[in-house]
Formats: sequence, C-alpha cells, structure tokens
Amino acid sequence: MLAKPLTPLLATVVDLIDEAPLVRTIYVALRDFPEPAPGQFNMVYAKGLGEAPISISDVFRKGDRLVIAHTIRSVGAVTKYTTCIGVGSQIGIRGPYGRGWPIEEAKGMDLLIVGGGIGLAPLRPIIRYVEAHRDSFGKLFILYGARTPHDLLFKSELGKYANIPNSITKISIDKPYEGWTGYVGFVTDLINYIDLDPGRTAAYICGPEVMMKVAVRRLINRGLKPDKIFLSLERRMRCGMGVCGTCQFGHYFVCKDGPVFSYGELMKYLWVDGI
Amino acid sequence: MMSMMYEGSIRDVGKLLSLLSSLLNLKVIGLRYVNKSLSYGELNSIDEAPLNVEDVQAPSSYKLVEEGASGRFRHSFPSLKYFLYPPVQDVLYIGRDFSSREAKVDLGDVALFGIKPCDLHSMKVFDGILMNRDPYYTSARSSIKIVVVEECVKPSKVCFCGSLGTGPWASDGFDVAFARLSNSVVFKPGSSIGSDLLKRLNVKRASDETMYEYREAMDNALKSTKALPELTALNNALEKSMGSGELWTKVSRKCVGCSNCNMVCPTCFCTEFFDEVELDESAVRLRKWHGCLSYSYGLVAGGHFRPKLYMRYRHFILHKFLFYPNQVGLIGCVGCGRCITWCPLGVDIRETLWEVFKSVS
Repeated sequence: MLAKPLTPLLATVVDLIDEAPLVRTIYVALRDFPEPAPGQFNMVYAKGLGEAPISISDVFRKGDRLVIAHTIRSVGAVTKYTTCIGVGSQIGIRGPYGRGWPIEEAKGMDLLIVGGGIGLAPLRPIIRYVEAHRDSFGKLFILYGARTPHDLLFKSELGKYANIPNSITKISIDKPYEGWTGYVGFVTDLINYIDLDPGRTAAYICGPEVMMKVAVRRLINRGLKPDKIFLSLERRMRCGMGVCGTCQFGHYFVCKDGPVFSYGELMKYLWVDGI
Repeated sequence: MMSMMYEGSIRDVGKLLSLLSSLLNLKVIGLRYVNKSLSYGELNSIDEAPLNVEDVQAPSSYKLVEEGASGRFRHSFPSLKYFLYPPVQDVLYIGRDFSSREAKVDLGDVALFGIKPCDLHSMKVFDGILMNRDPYYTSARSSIKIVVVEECVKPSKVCFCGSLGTGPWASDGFDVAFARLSNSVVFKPGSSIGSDLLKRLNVKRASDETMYEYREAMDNALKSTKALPELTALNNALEKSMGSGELWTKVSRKCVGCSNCNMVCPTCFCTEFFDEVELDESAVRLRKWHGCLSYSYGLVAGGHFRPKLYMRYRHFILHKFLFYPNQVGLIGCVGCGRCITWCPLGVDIRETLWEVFKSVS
C-alpha cells in the first residue's frame, strides 16, 4: 500500500494553448502514469508554491507517453505560476484522483452536457468518449455558456461539435456583445430550448455552483430523475486522497467520493448555504 | 466490561511501566509531568507520570494543582494526535533538480501508557479516516504495540464521555486498563498480552469489596458524564437544523473563529500543506493542522465555500455528530471536553447541542 502517495511525478510541458483571458491548457507528457477517466483530476505542483486540483480536459497517447491536458484558470499562486511557464518547463503532477463521470452506465441513453465557463474542461472528455463510441449512445446535447465570446474555451473545436452525428450544440454568452449573433442569456436557459426525453436522458453539469443549482432545478422540472443528473463540485483540496479534510461537503470528501456526484447523493446538502 | 479483574497498588502500576520497557523493549509514551510542565514524551519511570497532580477544568479555564490534589489527572490540551499526527510534519523533500524524497516516520516500537478511554476511542475515529490511507499516520499508528489505559474514576467538569459510550471505562482496543481507587488499584486485561503482563505483577484477584468500590466509582463517573440529549434524537435534531442559518448564527454567537477547539480536539484531522523554500532552491513540503473554524477553511482562490463563521462552526459540530458516522461508522466526538476548556470564550459544545436540540425538537 501507499507507495509514495504524496510525491508528484515530474512532467514536461509539451504544449500550451491560451484558451481565454486567464485560462490556459497545459499539456504534459508522462510515462508510467495511470490513464485518467473522464471527470477525474490531478494535483498540479509548482515547486515552492504548492499544489492545486486541476481538471483533466483531454488525454491521449503519444508513443510510450500519456499526454494529459490540464485547463487552468489563473486565480491563485499555483495557477498563476502556470501562466508564466513555457514548452519544456517542468511541473509536478500526481493523480489521477476522484470518481469521474459515470458514462458506461449511460450507454443507450441520451446525454445532456451543461457547461458554464471553465466548467467545460472536465466535461470535454465525455464528448471525446461519445465521439469514440458514437453508436453506444442516443442523442448528444451540448449546452455551453460563458460570460463573453472571449471566455469560451476550446474555441477551435466548439464549432466542430455540430458535426458529431445526432447531436445538438447550443452556445450562449451572458450579456450582449458586439459581433455575437448567438444566444444571449444564461446557459441554463438553453435547457428550455432542447427537446429532452426525461426518461432516457443523463445530464452532466459543471460550472459555478449557482449555475449548477439552477440547471438541477430546471432538469428536475423537466422530469429528469435525481440519480441521472451528475454534477462536478469544486472545493478547497490539498491531498486528493481524503486525508487532509479540507474538501468536505456534508459527509463527503469531494476529492475521493467525488468530484462527480449524482444530484440524488447531494440533495440533502446542495441547497444548504456553506455546508 | 467484566473480564477477570485484579487488584494491586500504585507500585504495580510502576512495575507495569518498567515491564513494558525491560521485558518488551518498548518505548513508553505518555503524558509526562516534569518540572511542573506537561507534555507527551517518553516516560522513563512512573515518577514522571502525572499521578500526583490534578487538572481543574471548566469552560475556558485550566489549572494544574499539586497541593490538595486528589491525584485524579484526566488530560491536558495535547491529545494523542500530538504523537500520531503531529502539528507540523515534513512530507516531502524536493531537491533543486526536482528530485524528491518522501519523509519517513519511524517511531520504533511503542507502548502508550496511561491514556484515557476518550483518547483511546479517538484513535478508532482517526483509524477510520487515516489508516492505510495516510502513510505517516499509518506508520505512527503501526508503531503502537501496547496500550495501557487509565480509567476515569473522577471525571472533570467538562467531561461528557458517558453520553457517548467512550468512557469513563475502556471496553476494547487496549491491553491493560487500570483504575486508581481509594486504597488500591484495579487492573483489567484487554488482550492476551495484557493478561500475561498482569501475571508478572504482584496482583491478586480483586476482592468483592474492591470490585464493589470499582463498580460504584464507574457508575458515579458515568452518571456525572451524561450531559447530552439522547443520541438518536439529537441526531435527528441536528439533521433538521442543518439548513437553518438563523439558528446556527445564534448558537455560534460567542465563537470568534480562533480554531483552538480544532487544535485540541483529538479527532480533528484537517491539514494544510506548505512549501518552505531553502536558499539552495530546494523545498520542504510540510503539512500543518488546519481547523474548520479558521477563516481560510473553505477559502479558494476564486471564492469561499464557508464565508460565514456560523457555517464553519456548524461544520465543526455536524462533522462530529452527523458526518463522522457516515465516514467512519462512529460519532466523531469522544466527550473529552477539551474544546470547552480551551475555548477562550468558554463556548460549551454541550450547551450548543442542547440549544439546537431544544430549538428543533
């Protein structure tokens, strides 16, 4: 047991994409690293500064190495550090941690993805998975919103989601913006504009907590079952393995019991402020 | 509770301590009272144990007295976690070239001596969270080979273990338990090693009179530490209270968020990680205790998940009583009362629980 659980693996940055103001995707290549499942996260370590839990937004193999994409918003010490590194820089990675999105269980069903802002990052691996196993699922709805067109992630690929067979992608921005001809309003409003079959739909939501709550309310009103609505939570996290205690949400350790929970699991706590 | 019991004298307690080091080659760890100060450390002889000193405890008040002491020492602010899960711990050494080495915990083979039933119970709670998950705790915990418990004949004013089934006597998870009565000491084996150790002492089967005194003492101690509402009803009340910000604001009105309660609580385990950078660009990764009452608990770079003090106070209480049972199958409060004594405002968890209970039920 416990072979060096807190030691970060040294990883070399192989690519960087500036996605949006303050948001960057950092690709690292690693050997001997377990393949992360969609919805899992890594602890990213910047020497001298500390670690931060970061969503994994893509995973692929390149030769004998696993390339993992971390989409990072620069708001704290560690995440700001990652904005001033370049290809060839080294950072520490440990993981992957947590329980990801239940996708296998949703085979045969329609999938609804609702992302707000940087919340699209942990949802992208689901889209990848559905693309790779397109026949196993029914319809795919992708609803995505950001504050402004600039804040949208993965801009070069957003337009291509429309090409996924049997899928509908809708994108919104919060306020009118010059040149934007798409929908203006909250991403959760888009739920009203799609034709859901509540009995055969599984929903995957990630974004600011207030947005996820609105999404849950709307979906429950549309008739989705609480155990078919999944949310990925954010909390302060320090260890990733359920020992530092700082990510507690009710009786859950978000790092190991989550970060993905069904609404059924969260029902008791989600509406309690600051639980 | 009733295995075969023995009686002897305080000298037998001393002999027991010597046996642990001489016969079993163990490092004997317990609270030491040396030069009028108390701390966890290696007990070299029974003279170093706090046997002739009394802790006078009340909300926001702690005093050690020697003169006129009943010799009934219960505890002080350091709980077992000082030893098992220290306030600051090296985790990782990271070299200039990013090479890394994990810190090791090697405590040798240890006997815990004279710990109280509440603290013994806190180890079970800690085990549920940390054992086989946290490498440092696992290593420290595995070093404990023998546990000698002193049962509480005369609990303090802040003790409420009787409400929680965590005291005043020990029921399992120990090797030897002893209780100091008026003129004798009773011994109780809790394992086969414990029985073997007792056979080596000059103790005889406890007489009926001694057993009567022991039972009566335990009975009184139990009564004096029953201070909470009935637990199932309390649990339901806490569950119902969860969403009432108003009630929790009210019950947390005296709290200033200093986190003293977290630090002295034997089952608070939250930690924060830090990097200390050396001049040669190497770094030491450390972790320190972190309490849910402090402002930074729930704070992230982009916001705060528990911005108000009542939310953090509520977490402290609900975690012990509602969430711990889900996490480890045990209530997380052991009723030691340290949080009451060491709270600078004298916030009394028993009063909080009663207040919530009465407001909701």
